[in-house]
Amino acid sequence: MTKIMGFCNLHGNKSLGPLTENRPLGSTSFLARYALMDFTLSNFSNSGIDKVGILIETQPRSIMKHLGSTNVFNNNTKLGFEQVLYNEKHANNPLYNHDLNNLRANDWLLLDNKPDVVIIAPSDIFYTFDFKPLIKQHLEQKEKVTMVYSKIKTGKTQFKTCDVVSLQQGRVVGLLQNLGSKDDVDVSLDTFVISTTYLYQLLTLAPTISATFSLKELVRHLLNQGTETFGAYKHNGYARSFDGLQSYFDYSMEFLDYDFRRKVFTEDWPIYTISHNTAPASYGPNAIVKNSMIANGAKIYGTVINSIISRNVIIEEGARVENSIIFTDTKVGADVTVKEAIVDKYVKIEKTKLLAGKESPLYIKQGEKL
Amino acid sequence: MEKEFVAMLLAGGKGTRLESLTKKIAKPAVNFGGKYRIIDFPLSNCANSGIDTVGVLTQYEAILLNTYIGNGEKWGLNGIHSLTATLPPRQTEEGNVWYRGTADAIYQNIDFLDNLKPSYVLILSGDHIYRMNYQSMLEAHKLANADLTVAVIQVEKKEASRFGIMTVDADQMIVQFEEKPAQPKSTLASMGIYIFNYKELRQALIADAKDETSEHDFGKNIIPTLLKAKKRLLAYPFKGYWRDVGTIESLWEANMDLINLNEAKGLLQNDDLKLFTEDTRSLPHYLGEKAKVKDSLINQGAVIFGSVDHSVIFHDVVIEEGASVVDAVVMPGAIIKSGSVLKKVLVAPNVKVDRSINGGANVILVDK
Repeated sequence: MTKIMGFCNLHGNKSLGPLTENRPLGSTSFLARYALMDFTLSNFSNSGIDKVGILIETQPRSIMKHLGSTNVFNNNTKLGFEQVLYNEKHANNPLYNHDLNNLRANDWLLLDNKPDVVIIAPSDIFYTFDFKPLIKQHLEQKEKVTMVYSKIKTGKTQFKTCDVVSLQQGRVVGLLQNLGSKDDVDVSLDTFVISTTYLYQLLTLAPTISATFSLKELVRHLLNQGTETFGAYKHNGYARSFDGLQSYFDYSMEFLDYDFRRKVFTEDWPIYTISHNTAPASYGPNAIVKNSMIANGAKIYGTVINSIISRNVIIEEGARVENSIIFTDTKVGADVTVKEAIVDKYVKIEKTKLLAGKESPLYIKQGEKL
Repeated sequence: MEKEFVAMLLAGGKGTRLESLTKKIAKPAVNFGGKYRIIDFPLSNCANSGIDTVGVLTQYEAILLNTYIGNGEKWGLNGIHSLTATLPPRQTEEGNVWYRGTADAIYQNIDFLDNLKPSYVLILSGDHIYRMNYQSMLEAHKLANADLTVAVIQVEKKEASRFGIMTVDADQMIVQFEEKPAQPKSTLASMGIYIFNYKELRQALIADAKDETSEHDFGKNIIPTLLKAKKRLLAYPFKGYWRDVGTIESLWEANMDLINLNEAKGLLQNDDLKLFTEDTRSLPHYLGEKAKVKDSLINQGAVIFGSVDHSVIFHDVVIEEGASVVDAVVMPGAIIKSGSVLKKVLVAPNVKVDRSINGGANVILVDK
């Protein structure tokens, strides 16, 4: 039996602007009840991968708060784990605080578990993805590394901070940043299957080339120098790269289309997350809600249109929320209107009667009293 | 293992008056309040009362109930000192018998209790909707130096003959007790929640088991016997929301109470008495472009394109466009097809409804 270990990679995750000022992208709230990293972790769970390391770059607090000591992602709660891996040594030195150094600092996890193969998957690229056929191909082709890519037709506007793979005879031969010059491109989904013996070689090799190389940079170097070619696996289906406040907003709102929601979230691919034991949402006698997604614990007395409302949010009578995303435990007071906005957690809007974004969504900071 | 205070939860009943809802599942496993099952209430109460050891006595159609209870993890009753044990009837050296009554069910598990060496045993049933801290009841029990404490509530006179009815003295000590009397002498009713000194309970159960005329029932046999023996029986008044949900009508009403009654609203969200249940891993619920929802409770995973008024909607329910539900309880996985108009109904789990039904004076259970 091939032993497989997963790594959820939070290194080099893109910024979501003010949303990720005090939290990593991975633990940022998504679709009213999830953290973005839940999807990567659920992909591992649903692919039967129970042993998972979480490579975190900064801000461990928010990750610890989200994960705590959980076993919601594990099939066997004794054998499975989500181990948070933090590179203490380089925590304050961004240049050296990359995934390869984190793996090196936490190599005990590899030594303890002796996986044959590891999968390193990002948390800023969002997909529902069965890793099983990917691993199968990797083993059958006896690859050192297999990289996952997706054929997209929107390269000028999406996946702009991601890499584009060059393919020759079905293998990856080059890797360059997507500069947005072409629409039809094969984008790398920053997902690497690596045979562990080769991973050890890479960990030894990397500092002899550059001590600041991350995994992605090392792979780029090896490919572009012509030293190696790697296996390629095409991911068909939904994938998004989160790279800013606007894309976070757009990729959230997509799910208000019911057919889209159904296509991505299928019954055989459940998404796990931490449960907060919140009661069903309650609606008041004058509530008006349309085309929206509402989490448990929410209390709706006012109007909600085209919006995403998280756990324990209160929308008071006469309030109107439109085209907005409201995070956990926020209150929109009586007769307040919120439009085109992302309102972070624990915000109280009572005195300000109108909050509206224009071209881009307005962002309200966690804990604001307005 | 020595435990001061352990709970034994009677969950073996069929609940015949719940009609087809309990055809394949025991009453305590029946869905309630958009997200829960009835048994979540006593088990969450235990967790919040600092009780870490619970025996759950199951008998009727217990597969779902036994698996649901599992190791008690859903209520946090799986910690290092915790124990959650499902106790169905078993074969012993003496042979095998079903549980012949509430008292017999506990009697047959005396060995389980002996191992725990409890000072006090809390007897609960899995049929009621209420939130209570049993630790306060234990304090009253100790303070009164009682042998048995019975939690009591005032009921309406016309209801009284459905309950164990008692009279008490100025110190709340029980002086008279009658199970389901035809002519009730008071409206003070037993809630079926008892705290026994284990020594007293053990003795009483052993004596009762030998009595061939006994129905082996706490209300009919054990309490009257203890009263006759001049034991100290305390009535512990409970002030708060409490409902027996033994009929389709009362189950529907208690669900409606969660929308109507301020008293009932606090049942589900209460910082001191957190309510725990399973997580269905559903997405937040979704309302379509033409959806109309007011005055309702909607759980995660529900998808609503039609109209919902004054209703409780469970997880993974679909209300199609052009369908309308009013005063309805729609249980998990049910689908209300376009054009169906439902009023005053209780829709059973996973039923597809493709017609209009008006409950009128009585609530109608829609089970196919």
